[in-house]
Amino acid sequence: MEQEQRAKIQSLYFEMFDRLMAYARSCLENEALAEEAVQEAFQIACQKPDSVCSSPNPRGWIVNTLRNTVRNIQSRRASAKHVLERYVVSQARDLTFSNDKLSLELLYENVAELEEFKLLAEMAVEGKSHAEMAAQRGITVSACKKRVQRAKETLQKKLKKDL
Amino acid sequence: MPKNKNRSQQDFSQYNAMSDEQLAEILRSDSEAPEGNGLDIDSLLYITGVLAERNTGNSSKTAQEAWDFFQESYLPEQDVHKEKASKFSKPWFRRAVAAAAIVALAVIIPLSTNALKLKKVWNTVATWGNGHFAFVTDSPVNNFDKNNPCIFETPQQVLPLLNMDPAYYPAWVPERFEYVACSVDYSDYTCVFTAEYHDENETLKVSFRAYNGIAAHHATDAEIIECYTVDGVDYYIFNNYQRLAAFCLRGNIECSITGEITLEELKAIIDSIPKG
Repeated sequence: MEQEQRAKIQSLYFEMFDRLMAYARSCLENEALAEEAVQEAFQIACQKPDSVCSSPNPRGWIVNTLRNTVRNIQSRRASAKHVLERYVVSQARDLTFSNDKLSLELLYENVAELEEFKLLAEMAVEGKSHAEMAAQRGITVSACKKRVQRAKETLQKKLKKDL
Repeated sequence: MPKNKNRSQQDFSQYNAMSDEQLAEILRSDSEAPEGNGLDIDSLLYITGVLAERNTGNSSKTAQEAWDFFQESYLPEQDVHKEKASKFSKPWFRRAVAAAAIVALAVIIPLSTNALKLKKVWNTVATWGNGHFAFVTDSPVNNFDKNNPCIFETPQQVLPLLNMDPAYYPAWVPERFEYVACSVDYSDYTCVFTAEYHDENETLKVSFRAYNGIAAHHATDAEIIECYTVDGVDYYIFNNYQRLAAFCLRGNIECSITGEITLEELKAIIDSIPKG
């Protein structure tokens, strides 16, 4: 990214930040996720500086990108929630049809020990952003995103084995 | 949501009288609308401007704080993404590599007759240390069987042409990786087959190297993690500059798996190899 492009994107950032946060906050109803959506939109802008800077309407470019990052976050949460629900239901089904008298509370306690489950639960149920989860774990945002992706794959793999 | 295309005549004053919740609901509707059916940009910016002004000071971060965090936590990621965005991300290059592999198979230099004979006894030592890992063997390369070129749908189909057993190729890789291309590099002493897979930001490679007495040194930046044994085959696992790598020796063929994957994924890939 050239210095001039970086300066232009930075200028757009400061000019539009509050408005973009207002948009993302309204859609996601969560301050941390709203910030994540805005940050990801500008991350994409930095990955495609030629596209932003040569656009006839750079502000419109940023807004449209933010619309997509908001939808992506909503989609990620819904997907993670779906995987979690299927996993918990599959575990409960196994216990229901077995002679084991384990209670649901014990089931959740066992499942909760899984780091994968905790990670997805924080994102899907508690609405935490990657930045928040990363800060808690002392890792980068990028590493956190990879862990979330792997967590989803791990649970999906376990679901396939159980079926 | 009506789209007013005549922006010079747009009257935004209607939004000034709306409550925060009403404005937020308009924005939520915009995010749920199909692409192209949402608010026009000017209206959206006006509405968000009203909300931002009304709620000045209520955000958890100022723009400056958010920008500082962005540079620290998001910008380095896009620089890494740019470094890793290799030529292989371009479809034309992938096709060129695949075509080159096919051409390479068609116009090979014949190996000497001595190289065609296989020794029955191997002298193989696995050593590591000083930042390198290597197998050393005095066995000759396998016979490269010339064949007419053909289109390969899977990397496994290439291996028999190189006298390499496709049953040594993993039957599973993590679903996020997409197969890109394979390549064959050869000389009188070595024949190296490599299949490459790509995720958005990450790469996974499966390689088979048949060689004659030449130690294949692999630079490492860490101690070996473990020796993972499956069906009597030892896989040496270590870090290789932010990638995990697993190497094993089958006869005179060194098989390797390297990529930005977890240890669990790497072991799952190893477990999927039909012949262990």
